[in-house]
Amino acid sequence: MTWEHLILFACVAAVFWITGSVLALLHVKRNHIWTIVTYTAGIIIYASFIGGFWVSLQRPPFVTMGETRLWYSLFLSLAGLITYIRWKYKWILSLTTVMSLVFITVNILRPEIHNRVLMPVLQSIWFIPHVTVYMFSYALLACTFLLAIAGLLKPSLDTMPAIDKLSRAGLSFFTVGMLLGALWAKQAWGDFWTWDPKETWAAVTWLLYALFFHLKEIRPQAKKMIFISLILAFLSLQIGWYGLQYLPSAKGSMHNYALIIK
Amino acid sequence: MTVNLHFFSFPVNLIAGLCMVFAGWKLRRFLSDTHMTVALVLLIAAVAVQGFMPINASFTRSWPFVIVLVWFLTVLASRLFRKFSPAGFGLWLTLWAGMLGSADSSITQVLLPRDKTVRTVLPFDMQLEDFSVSYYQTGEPMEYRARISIRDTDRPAAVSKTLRVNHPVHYRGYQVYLMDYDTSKDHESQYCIVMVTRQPWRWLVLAGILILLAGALKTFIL
Repeated sequence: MTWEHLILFACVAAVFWITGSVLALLHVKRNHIWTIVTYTAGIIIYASFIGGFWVSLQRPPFVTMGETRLWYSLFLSLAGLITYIRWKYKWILSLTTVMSLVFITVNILRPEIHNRVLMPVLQSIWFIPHVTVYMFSYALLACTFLLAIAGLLKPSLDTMPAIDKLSRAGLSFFTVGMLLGALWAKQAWGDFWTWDPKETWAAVTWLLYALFFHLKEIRPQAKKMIFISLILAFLSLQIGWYGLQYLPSAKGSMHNYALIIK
Repeated sequence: MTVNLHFFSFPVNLIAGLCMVFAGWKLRRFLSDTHMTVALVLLIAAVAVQGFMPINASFTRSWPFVIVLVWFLTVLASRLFRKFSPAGFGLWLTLWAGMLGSADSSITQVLLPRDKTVRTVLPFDMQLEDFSVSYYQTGEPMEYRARISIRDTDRPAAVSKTLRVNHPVHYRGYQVYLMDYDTSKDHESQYCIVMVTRQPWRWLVLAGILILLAGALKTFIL
């Protein structure tokens, strides 16, 4: 299975995801189970593309920007489904579907794949956990971002319980991803932390989420401030993930695997 | 503006670090959650400044940054004295040991020529014995492998070790990493460049990382 098959699998998955989202929005009680079934089917179809792509690539698909987006869409739809099942927000699936499809569309239009083989520095047992854990946390934190926006626009909506659970899980995974990276960095680059731009922005993001948790604990009434800290943290996350390449500080970053190519 | 790390080498760094703990203890009734918020916002701003700067600007080694970090760690210590949490302690220990330990760390880059021992400031001599590169079918490098011999300056016997990327060699409290070689010559490369690090505080940093890791998993599970 190659990158060309993505469009086919993505279209079929999109049909299921959109159907599931619409079913969730319709006010019929029996729809709940059908929404879950349909949405899950979409996820399985999309995941089977990633699985097949991995096998044909003969190396883990975590290297290029396009490949990380592939996982992001998968984990995002998964996180959306979990949020829907657990808290029954009927609009969350529409949002995660749109976001997943945006990233899939970017992947179809600008693949940024270079069929790179695995260079020596990436041949490590830390590689797969480091990237998957991060991508999963990005997806969970994207859900909290959507919930924060919804909470800001419609204060009557009580999104805080869901934000609390999702951001806890999201920041836990983020922390694990960062610390696995630190342990790996000691092995590969000689130090746990070198203020590489990607590390620096991960630190900013982590501290902003810490600020969010701190504010939530000491000022539970200041909802607006809490939502804004969450939105800022998410923006910082985007800088660390892909916004970085447009900053002058990115030059010489040791994380530029996808960029050093001929 | 750059901090003179040499001045803070052991035991000055340890004394300064204990002073921070002591200040945190003394101020535990005075400092409040609002102070924590301010310290956190200051640290975010300081790290973000580094985020917009080129790496070699080394803002994180300047006095403004170090002062913000020291203040943050003092406030965090006082908060931990009031209300302990494993994750908070893990974070504190990682940053505290990482910052203080950097004064005792050394990074030395050494060019090792083939069949010729080089003298360095290190307590051992090294020599490149053999170098090889293997490639994928696409022509991209798959593995770099350097065989080096290490010999203590005061002992005649040499040990032979193989260096690969991601597989550093540990020798007498030092870690040796393969960094570079003469890329125009491949197997014929007449030298390789190794990085030798020494981080006596790394066990404390590692302990902090593991505690923080456990704290993160606990937050997720509970």
